[in-house]
Amino acid sequence: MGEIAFCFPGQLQERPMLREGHPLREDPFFKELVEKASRQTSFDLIGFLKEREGPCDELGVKLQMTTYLLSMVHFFRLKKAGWIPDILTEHSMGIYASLAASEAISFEEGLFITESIGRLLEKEGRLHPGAMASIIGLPLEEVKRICEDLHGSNLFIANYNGGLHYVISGEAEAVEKAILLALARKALSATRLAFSVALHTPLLFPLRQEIQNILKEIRIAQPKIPILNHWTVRPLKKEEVKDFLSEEISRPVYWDRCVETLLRKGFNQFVEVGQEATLTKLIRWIDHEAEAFSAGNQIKGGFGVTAKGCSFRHPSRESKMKYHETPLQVRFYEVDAYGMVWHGHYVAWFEVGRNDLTQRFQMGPSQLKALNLLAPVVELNCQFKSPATFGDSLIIQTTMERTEVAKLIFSYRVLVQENGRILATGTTTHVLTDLKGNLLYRVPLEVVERIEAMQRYLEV
Amino acid sequence: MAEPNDHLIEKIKQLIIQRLKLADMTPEMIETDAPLFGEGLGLDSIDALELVLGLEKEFGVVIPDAEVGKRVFQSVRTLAQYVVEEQGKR
Repeated sequence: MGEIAFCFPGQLQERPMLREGHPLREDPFFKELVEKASRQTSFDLIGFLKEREGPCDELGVKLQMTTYLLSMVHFFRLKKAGWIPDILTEHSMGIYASLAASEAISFEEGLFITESIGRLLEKEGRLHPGAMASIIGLPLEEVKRICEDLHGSNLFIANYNGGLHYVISGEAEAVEKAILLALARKALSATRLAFSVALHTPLLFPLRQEIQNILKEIRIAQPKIPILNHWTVRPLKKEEVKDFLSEEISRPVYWDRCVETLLRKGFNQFVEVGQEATLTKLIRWIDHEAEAFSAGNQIKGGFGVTAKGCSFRHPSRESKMKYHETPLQVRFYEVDAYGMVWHGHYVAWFEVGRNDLTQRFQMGPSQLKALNLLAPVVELNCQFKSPATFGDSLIIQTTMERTEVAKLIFSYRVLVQENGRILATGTTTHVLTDLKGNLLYRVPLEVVERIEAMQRYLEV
Repeated sequence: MAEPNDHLIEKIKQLIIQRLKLADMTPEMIETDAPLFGEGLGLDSIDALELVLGLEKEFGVVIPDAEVGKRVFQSVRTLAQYVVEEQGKR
């Protein structure tokens, strides 16, 4: 049964921060696709990212093309890391990248469609200015009532994002009034989004024909990975693609339906194929337990939105971890007056095992210190099962547990080499701090990469 | 600044109880304006890491570092205000 859903987000709300030296800019897929894009269109992504903040011509089109490009970069990166999606889902303009990812259209065609529709919307926004706003924390009936209460104005629900998240869309003035109404009626928040056109409303219905014209020359192939149609919650058929594309900008997005359907069908892993964690957050609002993360956030080094830790992992290989083994002989000075190893030495042995493992992955104490990091122990557990005596040949087994929190948790077993008898088990929990002892809330990128390498080694 | 409503305050109290496994506590026992760390609820800096993750999962807001954390983790109210602020940015 399928279990991994790739989720393609809609337009970015602001220019992504990809400063000089950002790891993505060194990525071969990034370089290749940016190169291709600049050859095919007049759009220069690097230039766009370098431009200063502030007003910018055709910002909408540029953001849409940036969203498309970054989704494709992340898609190829994920694929290379061994992820195989069972289904693709998309939010709003995420459809273009999901079509290219499923090979229903080529990368170049996807870029062409993104740019052409983007320009069409830009023009429409100039002719008939519109606006969109996200409203969080009000039930659907209340959001509907707000749209009704402003009767006479053109205002619609544009996104059903799940978990009391809605986006309304319509004439700019009506959207402004609706924001005030929503706040007065105790919405958690109500804010304008970066759109100058009433996307996903019937106001854009007249653009259908022009979009069909844009698509005329394009031949749609059967998607190699099914794309979930959020209206029918069935896979999008090749014959439906053009109509879907020409209508989706004038119809609402039912993201809630999409996620709920997938959860019901047993999908348990959602990967946001984009730069931000917009859909990841929405998925969590729908189901707190859902495992969801954003590929873009992984690269930024934030462990934050990552489900269970910090690495690109293949879920099927996730369950079991093996132990790294370090041999050890009991020394005479470790034995107490009873002829048994003194209990405190086990803790030191845990450290011997841990250092043997971590140093192989540049995570030993001095190697972390070179990154200006310390990893002090904040918690220790030890269960003593059976005593060791002088001269015993032991094995210290060490493994690292997966955790979502910014902690490093190691588990240990001490056993007799000869017969495998377990003498002690335990865990240590470490946090990361800077050299002054300030606690880090997230694991830095360099360390994430090392942890990833260690976990690959420890995966069974 | 937007004031958080009672519903959000309640949800944050529940989150603290769940994440930190304070099984013997109920939301009513947590004072909205009492300090979370030290004298008040008696949490420590390591507990903050659990809350950082909980807030991110539950509300989609990110507390990037201890400097922001110091400001945000003063009380349930400052936490709720931060959630409202951050969600407003989206």
